[in-house]
Amino acid sequence: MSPHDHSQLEDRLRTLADPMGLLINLFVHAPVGFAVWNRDGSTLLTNPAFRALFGSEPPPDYRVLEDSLLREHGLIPLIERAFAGETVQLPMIWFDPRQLTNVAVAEGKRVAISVTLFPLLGQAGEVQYVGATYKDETELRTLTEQLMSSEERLRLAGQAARIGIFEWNLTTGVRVWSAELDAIYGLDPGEHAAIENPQLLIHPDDRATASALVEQAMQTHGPVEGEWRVVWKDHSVHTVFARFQAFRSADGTPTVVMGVNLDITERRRADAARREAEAQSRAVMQAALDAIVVMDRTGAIVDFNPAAEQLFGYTRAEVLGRSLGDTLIPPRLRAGHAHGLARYLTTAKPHVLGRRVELSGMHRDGREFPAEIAVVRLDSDGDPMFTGYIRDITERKRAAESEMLRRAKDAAEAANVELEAFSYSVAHDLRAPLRAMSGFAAVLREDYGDKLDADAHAVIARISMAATRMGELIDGLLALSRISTHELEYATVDLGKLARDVLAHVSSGIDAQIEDGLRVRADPVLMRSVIQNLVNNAIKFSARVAVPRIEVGMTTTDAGPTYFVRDNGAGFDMAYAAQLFRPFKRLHSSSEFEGTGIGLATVQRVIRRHGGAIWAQAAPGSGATFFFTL
Amino acid sequence: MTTKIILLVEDNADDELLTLRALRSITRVCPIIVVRDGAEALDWLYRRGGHADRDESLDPQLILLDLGLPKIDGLGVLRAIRGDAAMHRMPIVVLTSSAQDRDVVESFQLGANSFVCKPVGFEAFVEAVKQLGLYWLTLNQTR
Repeated sequence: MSPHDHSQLEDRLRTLADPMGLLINLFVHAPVGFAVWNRDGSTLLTNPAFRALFGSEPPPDYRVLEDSLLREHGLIPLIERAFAGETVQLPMIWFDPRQLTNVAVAEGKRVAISVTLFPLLGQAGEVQYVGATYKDETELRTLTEQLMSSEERLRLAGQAARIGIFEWNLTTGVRVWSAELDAIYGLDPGEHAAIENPQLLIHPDDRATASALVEQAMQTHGPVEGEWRVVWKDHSVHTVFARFQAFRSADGTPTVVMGVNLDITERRRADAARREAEAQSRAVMQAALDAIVVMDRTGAIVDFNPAAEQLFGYTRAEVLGRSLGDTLIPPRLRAGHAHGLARYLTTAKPHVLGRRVELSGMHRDGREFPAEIAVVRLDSDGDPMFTGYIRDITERKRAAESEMLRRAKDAAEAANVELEAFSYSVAHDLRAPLRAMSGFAAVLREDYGDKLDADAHAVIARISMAATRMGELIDGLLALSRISTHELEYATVDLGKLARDVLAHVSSGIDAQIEDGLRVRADPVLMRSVIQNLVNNAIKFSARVAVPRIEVGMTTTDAGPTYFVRDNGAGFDMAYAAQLFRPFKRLHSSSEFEGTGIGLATVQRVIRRHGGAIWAQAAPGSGATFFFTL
Repeated sequence: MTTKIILLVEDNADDELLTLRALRSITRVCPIIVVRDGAEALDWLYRRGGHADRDESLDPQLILLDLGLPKIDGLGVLRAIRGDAAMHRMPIVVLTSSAQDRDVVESFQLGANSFVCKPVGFEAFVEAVKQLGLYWLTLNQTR
């Protein structure tokens, strides 16, 4: 305050009726704390605002303040400087009134005060007192701090989230970029300042998009958002998400554009990768030859590919959401499926999971089919999902079976080759001694016949007969074995004619009833031996009956057209029927009825080779009937 | 002066004896020489090996050939003889205990003149051999 001001104020005050009252009022009611100190540090004057600030009564002298709190701020030297004639400002100090030891503290709060110390001059121009104003700036300070800290937080958040913040003052053209924004555009911190036209940082193909977006922000009041690619100095391309807004002056003119940018390259890349993976897995599912069925933890079907539609006969739409167990699994296996799923979900012990297993699937029409199934767990958002790959192995099973058949056939053929070798050896080697037996028996009879008695001749006859009989057995065996190696040649065969041929060779006296038209498709050579054997048997076993009767005909049984040869001869006990067709098994002694025991075995083998069956029905003394199918 | 003979190729001593006996009536006019396997038969015919020194005047009119022979079997002997221009017209009657198709067909294919299955019944055998032997001998003599 200049001396001029001083005298002007004096002149002004003199015009007032009560200048002193005004000054006192001013001092008392000013919202700023006033204090006037004597040189000795004692307080001359304080106003209520000062006292309110310190919450104390009586007011502390400055040395008390110094002692208690203000020493750290160097108040005493400052006050001394003020006594030396200087005006001193302590811009802002914090103190907590509670720390004032000799004053009563009204409130336990920190306050921020800006203090100004100034010399008060006496008439002679010397410093008489020091005055002080104490301004409570707590509120302002708090606001500032809050503002600063929120800005700081925003900056930190932007840094942490890698969000770039920009502000573009349209009036001044000043651009403010955060360091993160520099990073997003591939710039060194602060480098943006040197960029003449930031648009050039954007991918050429996307510049129009960015411009349009800025234009849109200018036209609208709310925020706008969009994406563009930016090209870094290293030529790598990054995708940026931008959201910004134009702020307007009172007349609506846009003045500032503010907003954020976010580098979403990774997210886009991940999105693209995920979309690609999804598209791939979708394509795989679509194109897979195996049926693929996806089931959630409740057992509901959540996906079903075209191969599955084909395999199970349901459309995807039909089965989605339905229980897999109730649709694709045969009823008899459903409990096992449900149990297995429940057990896995509670114990995490997989049964089917991760293995290839053979199970049965069920078609929509209820038909079951063998399937090979592999199940993997592919979780979706943490929920267990089970993907089953199902392959119909009907064909494979069939192939395996036919492979088994083929092997059996190979084995049979090998056995046939062996059998042939065996029969050859039988034919050659077993017969030679027989020839010797019958030959030398004959020599004995011819050369020494006259020297032998009747008993010796009988013995020789038995030797010959035994040898002959064994020869017949061997022939029968060979014939039997030849049936297995004989290639079937089909032709129309008249069974009745074959029977009549056989009967024509035996003496009459047989009541033969042979149906006409017993024509079958079969191997003529083998069928001849069948009819020969059966009819000869019938003749043989009915020979002792007064009027032998032999029937050959056809009937129909469960097995279809069934042919039969019936006689009214000796018959047999059905208890032994099972032995009938075994080689060398005979139900009658040779003395009753002669025979090798190979005939029926041969017949059965022929019938079986034709894919038919043969069986007999008989009772002792009541004749026998042999039925066969082809 | 040559001596007409029948060559019997037979390894089984019993069969040999019985065959000789069946041909007893023939052997009086036509002796039978017996060899016991296919290799020996060829040695005899070609006068080599153990039979290099055999009487050159012996002139086989007929070969009675068993099929199941050691060393070279009957079919092998047939093949050798039929492959030799000097001997391919030699009458050969195959004797075997087997009537299996394979033997019959193959014997005829190899040029056997006739085929006799040795029956177990001695009389039938004697008859068969005798008839065949005589037939072929006669045929050969009238040639």
